[in-house]
Amino acid sequence: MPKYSKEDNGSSSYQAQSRIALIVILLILSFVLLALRYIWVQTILHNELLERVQYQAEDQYTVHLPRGSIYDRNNHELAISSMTKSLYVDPNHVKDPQTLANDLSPLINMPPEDIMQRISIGGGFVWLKRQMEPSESDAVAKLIKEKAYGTCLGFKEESKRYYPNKSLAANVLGFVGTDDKGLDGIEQSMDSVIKGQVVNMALFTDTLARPILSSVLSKVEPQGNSRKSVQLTIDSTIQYITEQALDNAMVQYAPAAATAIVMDPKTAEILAMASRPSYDPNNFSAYPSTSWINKAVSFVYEPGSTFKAVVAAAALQEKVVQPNDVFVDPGYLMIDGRRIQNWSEGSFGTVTFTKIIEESINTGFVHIGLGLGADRLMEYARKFGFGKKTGIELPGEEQGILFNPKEMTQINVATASIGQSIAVTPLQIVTGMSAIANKGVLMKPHIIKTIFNPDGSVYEETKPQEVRQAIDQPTDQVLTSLLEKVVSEGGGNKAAVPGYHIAGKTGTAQKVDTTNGGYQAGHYVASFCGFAPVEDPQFVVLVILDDPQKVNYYGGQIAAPIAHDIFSAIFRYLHIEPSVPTQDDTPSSSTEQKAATKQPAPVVPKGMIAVPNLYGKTIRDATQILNDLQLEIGIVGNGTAATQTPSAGTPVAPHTKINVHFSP
Amino acid sequence: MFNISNSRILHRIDLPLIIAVSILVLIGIVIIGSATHINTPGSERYWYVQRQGIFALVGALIVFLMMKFDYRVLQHLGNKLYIFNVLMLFAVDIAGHSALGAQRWIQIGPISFQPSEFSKLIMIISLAVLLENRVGKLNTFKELLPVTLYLIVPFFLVVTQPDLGTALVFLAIFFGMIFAAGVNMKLIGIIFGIGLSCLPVFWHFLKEYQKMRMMVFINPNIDPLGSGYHIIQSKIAIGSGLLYGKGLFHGTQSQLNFLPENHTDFIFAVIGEETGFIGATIVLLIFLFILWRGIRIAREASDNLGMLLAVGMTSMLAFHVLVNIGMTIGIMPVTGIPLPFISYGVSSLITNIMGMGLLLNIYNNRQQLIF
Repeated sequence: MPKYSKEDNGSSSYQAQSRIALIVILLILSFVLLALRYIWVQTILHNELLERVQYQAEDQYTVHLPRGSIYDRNNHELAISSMTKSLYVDPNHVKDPQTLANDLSPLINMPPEDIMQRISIGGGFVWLKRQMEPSESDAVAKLIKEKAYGTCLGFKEESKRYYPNKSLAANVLGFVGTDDKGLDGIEQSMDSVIKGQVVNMALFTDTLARPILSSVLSKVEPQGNSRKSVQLTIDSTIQYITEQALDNAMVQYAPAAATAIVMDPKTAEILAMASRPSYDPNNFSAYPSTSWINKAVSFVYEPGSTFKAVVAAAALQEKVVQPNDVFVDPGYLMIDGRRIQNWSEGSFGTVTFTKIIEESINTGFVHIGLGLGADRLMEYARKFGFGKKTGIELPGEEQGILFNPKEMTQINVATASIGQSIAVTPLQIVTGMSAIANKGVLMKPHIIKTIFNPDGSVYEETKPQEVRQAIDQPTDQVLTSLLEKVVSEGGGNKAAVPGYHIAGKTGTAQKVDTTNGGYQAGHYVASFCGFAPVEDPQFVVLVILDDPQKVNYYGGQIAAPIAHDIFSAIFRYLHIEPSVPTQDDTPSSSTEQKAATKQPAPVVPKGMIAVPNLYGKTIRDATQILNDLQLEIGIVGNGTAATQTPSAGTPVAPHTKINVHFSP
Repeated sequence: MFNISNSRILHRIDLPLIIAVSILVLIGIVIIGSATHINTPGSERYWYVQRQGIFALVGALIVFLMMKFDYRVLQHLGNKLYIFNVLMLFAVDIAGHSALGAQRWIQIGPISFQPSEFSKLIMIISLAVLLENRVGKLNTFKELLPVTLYLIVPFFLVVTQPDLGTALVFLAIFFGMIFAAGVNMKLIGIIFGIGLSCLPVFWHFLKEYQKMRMMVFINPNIDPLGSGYHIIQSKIAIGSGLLYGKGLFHGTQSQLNFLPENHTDFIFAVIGEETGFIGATIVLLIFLFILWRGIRIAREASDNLGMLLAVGMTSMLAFHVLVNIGMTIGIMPVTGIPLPFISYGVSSLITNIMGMGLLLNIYNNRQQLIF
């Protein structure tokens, strides 16, 4: 029997029933209200919410992952990327712009007015400062925490490019703009390969719109999964040697510009490529745009006598001339009413072809060139790669200018024979000389050695590529022996390094007046191009000094000594032993090493100090030795000392800074 | 022969209610799966779904066992349960560990549970037992006072945890039940009047984050990346779902974790984003159906105890649904109240299923013309 009978709760039950009905009505009303509000959110608020979503998406969705690195052939870093923080402001949520600007100004080194101006742009996202140094971003992060600016200030991770060696190989490497776009050099030509992946960060923003790179939920692999790195054929030690030599040239001969290339003739790999003036790619915008130019590929000039190597090659190959053929040099020739004379402005009398090359006698070459004729002259120029871009993986390469043989007059043939009236690039000259050093085989020059996948495996490797046999091997041998005499006995002897066989050719060319036509009086391009050791050529060196202002303008006088410095330093660096015993005590690679132990007392003026030989010393030892002598040290690289300036034995004043380049 | 007994059993069981609740639980498990990214590889991706599923089955077992008893046994347990409830809430205050700014959890062995969820059910039972003899006798403050005092103690314990959500649920249960017990509406009017005038004092006792939530409720844009973030993201989710939704596992707000607590308190926003207005309406209608069944059971209950229990259960359910869904569409403040049967949360799921068991039991023992 239930406790409650019908009679007991009759009236109250009736009351309860009516109240329950009321509850039902209230409930239904509530649910209708919910549904109405739901529809409201979806319709009336739709546009506002959509805007909100777009604001969340706006720009904050993209992040550049770090760009791939650039290495030299020994995997030394030339260009690397790391993540830096960039600061943005959300003007919609700035409560007091003036205070914010004043707070931020000292931390990010930006005037408050500029910050106010950025905030006044409005919207939800404006950059304040990109790619900040860690100390700066830390200070701002602290400010955000202290003053609760989290709603209007924020950071985005961006990758920043660093060039640890500063200006070393700058004109080859180029630089990167703020949006991870390679703007010059390798950075430009390899942009698509090494460009940091741009990730849609919609997937990885947290509640404060900070990108989360390593989220568990990431659907795209973080940290540059498509980021390849590039290994160049450049050897940074040889690059350093070359740049140092160019710097010396800039000081000694004051040219308007200079460029030098070192190439491996067997593979046509660029071992070094330098231009002056140069710049620091870490801060490229502080330098004039002219200093960014890579003159090694873009400088178009009349080669002058260095081109005679090609003319000689053609003449020997076509048997127009033999080394011992005899000529009578009249001192000058009249062609089509124009006078062509020797650089010495005099006659050499009766000479052999060997002598003509040695002394770079113009009249002799004009004679030979006319013997070859326009067709064969231009044919060989093209065989050696002139008149056409080499196709190296660098931006801004020029192709130079050759004649159409059908349109060549006598005077054209005559001037082209001595390297005037045609135009070439430094890279073409060094590539052509490499063919002579490589048994007559022209190779395609390249600067990209390997492209690596992110996991370190090889993605692509540049194989040495043979273009053509320009001249046959016996002819090449004869030509090489003639060019060797240029250095050992002739106009290029300032490039000679005792103990080594070096072949080469000097050049002194008048500069074309591009505005008025003809040549500019008193403006020359001095050059030297040669290779060594002759027995088994390891490298080709080209030095070009554009419009030198000091000393003189002859290639044999000013470019050859610079080449000498490069040759001797590379011999030491590559441990190439001398092939002939040296009698004199001029420092050369091996004697210099010995000199470290049995140093002959050099003649040092009073109050001056003889620079010690630091070759092979560690940084610590070298610093110690120089300190003991009251000299200072400038350290570049690491490992053991490879080269130094000034060289050993040079008398210098106390406290002079000795720059020492170390390599592992 | 068997027809009679069988049909009687079927008649005595509220099958539509069981089906409606089962559908909600299943919808919940699917949406929890989406919100916890089970389609993304990960070692523990099934953890939430598994737990919710297992405890749904445990709940079903409990309901089955509950059917063996007559709910009237609760008459003798009312006061004991009440004391147990107070002790349990007190223990949470002392020993509970905190989550999201509130002490709500108690760890017993490997299981941590939220006593406040169970205390809601106990509150309903003990209030029903207290009120069953007072139906129609709540016309003066003197008559109302003992009932109010009965509420105050557990209410105070919950407020100090602080668990504003549960405290509000207590109030909803309390008012629903005294309303059904025929309280004089004038008294209620006076109580609300006093309550409103005491609001500034009450405000003073709120925690900072609770004040912030209230302010953000009024204008979410004052702190769009902080306290207002939930509401804005939730509204974006629902607003972008439109009629048909973006499809399961394809809601950007929830899959990209813009929407916080998307498998618990804000799960309705996931439903709105991924299944659109249609999905959300279906869920709403099922809830409405369950509430209607609850009210029907209350009306048909054989005694005041059954009626009050059913009203209490229905009030609690209605409050949860209205506040939770209202919160996701920005007409209710964020108070951490889960969506019954659907939100992930074992304590909440078990409590609600047990409540349904109670309703079924009352229905089972309703006034039967057959007898």
